[in-house]
Amino acid sequence: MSNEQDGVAGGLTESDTSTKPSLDPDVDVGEAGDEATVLESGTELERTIDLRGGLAIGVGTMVGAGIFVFPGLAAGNAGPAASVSFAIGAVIALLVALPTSELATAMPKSGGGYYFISRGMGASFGAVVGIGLWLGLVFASAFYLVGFAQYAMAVFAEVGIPVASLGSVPLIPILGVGFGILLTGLSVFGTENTTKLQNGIVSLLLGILVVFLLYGSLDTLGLFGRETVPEQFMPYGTLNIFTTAALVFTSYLGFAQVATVAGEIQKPSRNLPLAMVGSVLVVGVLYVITIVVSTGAFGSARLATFGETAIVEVARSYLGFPGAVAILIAGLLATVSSANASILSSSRALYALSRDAIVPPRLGRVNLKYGTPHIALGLVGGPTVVLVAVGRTEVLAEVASFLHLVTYGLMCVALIVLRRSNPAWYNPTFTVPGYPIVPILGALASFGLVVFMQPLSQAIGVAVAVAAIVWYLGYARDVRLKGVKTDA
Amino acid sequence: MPEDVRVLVPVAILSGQVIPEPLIRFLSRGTIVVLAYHEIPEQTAPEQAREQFEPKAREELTDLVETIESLGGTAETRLVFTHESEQTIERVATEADCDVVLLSNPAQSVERLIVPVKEHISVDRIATVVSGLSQDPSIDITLFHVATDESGVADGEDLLGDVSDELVVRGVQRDNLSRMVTVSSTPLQAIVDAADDHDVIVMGEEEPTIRGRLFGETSERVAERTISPVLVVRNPTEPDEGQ
Repeated sequence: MSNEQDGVAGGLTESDTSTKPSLDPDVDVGEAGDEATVLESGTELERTIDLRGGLAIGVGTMVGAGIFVFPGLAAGNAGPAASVSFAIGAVIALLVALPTSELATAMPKSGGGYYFISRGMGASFGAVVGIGLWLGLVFASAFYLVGFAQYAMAVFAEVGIPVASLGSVPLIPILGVGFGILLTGLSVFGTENTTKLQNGIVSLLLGILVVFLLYGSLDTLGLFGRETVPEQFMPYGTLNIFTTAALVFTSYLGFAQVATVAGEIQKPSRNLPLAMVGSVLVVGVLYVITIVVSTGAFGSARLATFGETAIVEVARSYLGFPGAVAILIAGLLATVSSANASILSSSRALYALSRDAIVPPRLGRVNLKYGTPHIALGLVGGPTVVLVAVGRTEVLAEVASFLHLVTYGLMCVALIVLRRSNPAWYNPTFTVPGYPIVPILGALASFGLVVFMQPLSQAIGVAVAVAAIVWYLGYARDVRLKGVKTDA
Repeated sequence: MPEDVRVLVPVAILSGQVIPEPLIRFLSRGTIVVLAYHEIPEQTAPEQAREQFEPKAREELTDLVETIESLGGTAETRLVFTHESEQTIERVATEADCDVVLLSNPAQSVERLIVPVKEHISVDRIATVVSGLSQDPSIDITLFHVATDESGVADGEDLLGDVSDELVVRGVQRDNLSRMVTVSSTPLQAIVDAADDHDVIVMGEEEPTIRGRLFGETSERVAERTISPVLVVRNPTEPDEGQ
């Protein structure tokens, strides 16, 4: 990313078989076009994700948590004011999504947050963020898998399989671990492209949710003669709104995943910002309405007793048995698609680290037979299933959020650093509105939200960050990010 | 003087795909644009695969170019890492301004061409490509039309007459041309049957249709059902196709 690359443009127009491929991937970042990236060697990398695909990644990653896992837990913590908690989360996510969009259009490369921060602030911050993102996504994947297992249990209960009679057998971890291994295996050995499937799943999910929420909203407003459960808006006080916002922020961990595939998005300068901001807006609105509808149906105290699958009972109360079945199916699909998306993003984060030799380059190796990064995927799937076996929903969610929020805050800082140092290669095609207020608020809000988490989550988050620093000092201190000029 | 025909030859590099030498020799009358692509699953970032496989892919590509040049051709090359090869082929065909795209099948020799022609609109482009590639008196060309019923036969003969005249104007020997109109309610099968005793099929690209979207273009289905390579003559590209 230095002046060397500015000279690249001249060599881009004609491919030339005699040009030796560059041995250093960082120098050869190529020129990002609308349909493909053209590298110095003439080799091209096709961009295959359109706007719809980008939105599907964002929405598909996020929607699993906010609607299908959190409503019961959130209402139990904050009452109907949990809708405010979700709105706070959406505002913070937007404050980060805008700066991220600018960074991503300036650096439409694989790796997302790690790439931006390492190029903006150097290898040490990059290492912490890269390792944080890898493990943050591992925690997120584990969280989604636990959610999936709970939906699977609810399905068993619905069809009348007497799972309760198995007594002490810990079915939820077993289901979660089993499915985690299955997903990892599929991503290593599966060569069928699943983009279209993922797009279809997200469309189906949104369809189910829109019907359900529309009906629920009208019913809550009394159009069909329903009386909502009367309740105080903030039964547990103001502080709980913020602690709940910190808990449910996991529901917004998808928009930055769009940036991790920035190298594959078509027309990146247009589609990256639209996909990131758009997906936050879509899920934010859905989350807020979901809480209003859910608390309207039962009251928050009763809703909390239904736990992670509370939304199924809400659907049953509005739309009867068919509603419950539709939401159960949607819940299974949503949690799986979120888990799958997180596992894949996490392996991208590891790849980005291995490319810069912050972790051994071997970890990013692609297997010739299947064409997949099997070692990286294993290093995601392995820890994920361990966490599924031992973790609690709330802690998994909060640690995932903690590690992401640190990254988000640093991305906002990186944007400010880059704007001030203004290196020659930094030419974003989308610029954040309201600079510098928006990135400053984004950074403050991201770091601020961490304060409201449970002490255990904070401790684990800090431990991961410290471990990342130790790793950097011990293994990668000598790494010089090629192409990064300190005296920009 | 025939125009220079630009032929896109997509090659799945690193997978052992071979372009038959007789076919290369035949295409060498035009300019060959070799599109070496490596399709990777979406779990893998294209950059990631590129880092690892580029040197080997470049090596294979260089060998292929040497083969083409040794057979008297000129080649331009593109090397692309992609999740979707069809999208890549479409993009590069447009960018490199190619007239024809090869759907490769094995070919023992190239002596008999069959050119199914559907309608007048494509006559000019098909004539340009066929005359550009086969001035050679050793190549016989069958112009072929499928009429859906008897009433279409006369029109079909007129159509092939026009194609034939166009080709002669462009320098093809009339002796090498023959015409054939068949009546069939299943044009695809009729083309496949007629292609049986030919070596290469040259046919026009279709306008996008629902049927084409569902089952693939006629040319692709012909390529699947015959053992001969198919050269698809491209429609002029729209200025902006959008997404």
